[in-house]
Amino acid sequence: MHCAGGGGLSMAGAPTAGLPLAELQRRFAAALRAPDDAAPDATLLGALRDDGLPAARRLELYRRNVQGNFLKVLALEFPAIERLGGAAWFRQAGLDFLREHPSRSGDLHGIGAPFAGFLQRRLGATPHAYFADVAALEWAWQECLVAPDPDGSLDVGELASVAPRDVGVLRFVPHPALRLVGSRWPVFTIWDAHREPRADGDPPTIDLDRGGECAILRRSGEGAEARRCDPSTLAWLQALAAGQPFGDAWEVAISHDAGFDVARALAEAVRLGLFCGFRA
Amino acid sequence: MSLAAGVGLRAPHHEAWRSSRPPVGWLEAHAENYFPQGGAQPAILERLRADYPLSLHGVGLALGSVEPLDLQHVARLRRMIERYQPMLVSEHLCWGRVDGSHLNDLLPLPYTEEALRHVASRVGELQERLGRRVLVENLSTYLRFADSTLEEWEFLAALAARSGCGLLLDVNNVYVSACNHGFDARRFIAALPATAVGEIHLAGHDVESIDGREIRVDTHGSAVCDEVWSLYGFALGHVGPVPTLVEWDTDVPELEVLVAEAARADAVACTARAAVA
Repeated sequence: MHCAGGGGLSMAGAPTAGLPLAELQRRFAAALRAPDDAAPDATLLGALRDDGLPAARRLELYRRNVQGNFLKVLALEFPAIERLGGAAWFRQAGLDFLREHPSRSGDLHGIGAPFAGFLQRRLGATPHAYFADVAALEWAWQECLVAPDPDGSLDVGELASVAPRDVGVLRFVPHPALRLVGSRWPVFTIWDAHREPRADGDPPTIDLDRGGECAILRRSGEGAEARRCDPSTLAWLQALAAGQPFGDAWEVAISHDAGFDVARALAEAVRLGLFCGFRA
Repeated sequence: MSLAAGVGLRAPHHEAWRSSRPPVGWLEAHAENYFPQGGAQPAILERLRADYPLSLHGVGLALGSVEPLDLQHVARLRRMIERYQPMLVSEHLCWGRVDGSHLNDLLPLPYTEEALRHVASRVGELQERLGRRVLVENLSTYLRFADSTLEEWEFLAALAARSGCGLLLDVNNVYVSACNHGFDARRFIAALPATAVGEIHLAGHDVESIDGREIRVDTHGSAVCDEVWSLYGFALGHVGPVPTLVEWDTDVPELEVLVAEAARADAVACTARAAVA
């Protein structure tokens, strides 16, 4: 079948000494990454055929696809940020972000990693400074979803048999999917209200000054689960996840809350599978 | 009875795959989507692998990029191959990496002797590192290079001959590019070495109007169009029966819709066989 339109079949008359492949790819990539108002690269355009539609318009189609692919992935990873900022703001912020942090891999799972830091730099001094913390929570969620499965699981019986005097030196191995997030803003509430589209209209108004929130993100089945926790539990888990001995982590928790119930916290952490092992 | 044609495994269908085993012949997964070593992705792939033949289809190696192959990416692909033992492994005739950064798109190459030498050596290196033959897929393209001295089909045929790779013939991509560039889609297919074609892809595409000119865009967002079904029948006449896959990536419908497309592919193949006999 022969489709209508376009140039003929013959390549005769095409110049033979063109751009070396490396230079062609460099110029092509630069054109796809350029901002909207960038001047066109005449050398690159000269290496492309018009065939009834200017080469610049053809290049624009690729540029739009590349931007669209990245923005789609970023929106999947940061749905709450997109809803908080609105589609137009998110698109612009996303494109600026990708120019600052181009993808380094053929696997797109990692592209959102620097997004919270980018938002911190961009919005840190504005009333939207909390976006950075919401983004950090969304990224933690993404990491939790795809983190490796652990090699083994914590042996509760073995833990119960540790003599009380030896407990203080135990070091716990965090589950690879465990993520701990704390913020001076109510990030969990904000995230929870914006991560899914709502059938009942606009998300509720949330008072940013109602106080900070902490969250534990963990592997649950094959997926992920997030829950609020208090600041002392967060500090205790962070200390343990960083490899501090049980006794030191307990002291960290007590410095936040003198009444911290470590036995209860440990039982809960074990029940939730936050650790996959321990060593003396 | 099971169909012969396969369907692309996509995240929106994971839930459906958890609770059902539609009668498709095989599954193809985008390798990079299942690179994570924990959580839902490897778990579902592991289970489906037990019930269906599997193909791993890479979208991120950017084989035609001038800079060296991303060996970390190749190593992850190799680990996946060891874990899932796929029947087929494929990638695209494209580039996408420059100076360590990635455009994560399938960008077209000029069809020159320089590009051919380069891609043939890359495909050779990939096959060596993976310890197996790889299929290379033709793209949908929206532009052509002034320097090209070969036709796309000549480039693909020479690539297969020089590197020993197989070809993944995407019939929709042939049709899209044929319409965009005004060549004869049947001439493209007839010029490919039949024995090198190890797999066929089918998908839908969109039609856009840019400055009043019609451009077909490879969206994988709709049903296979009639012209592509007819071209598929023609392709089978040339290459004989090979594993055929229906892909759908945007505006993904219910899994049943894909299964129905796979059934239609079987029906077309049946007619093509009858025509040969």
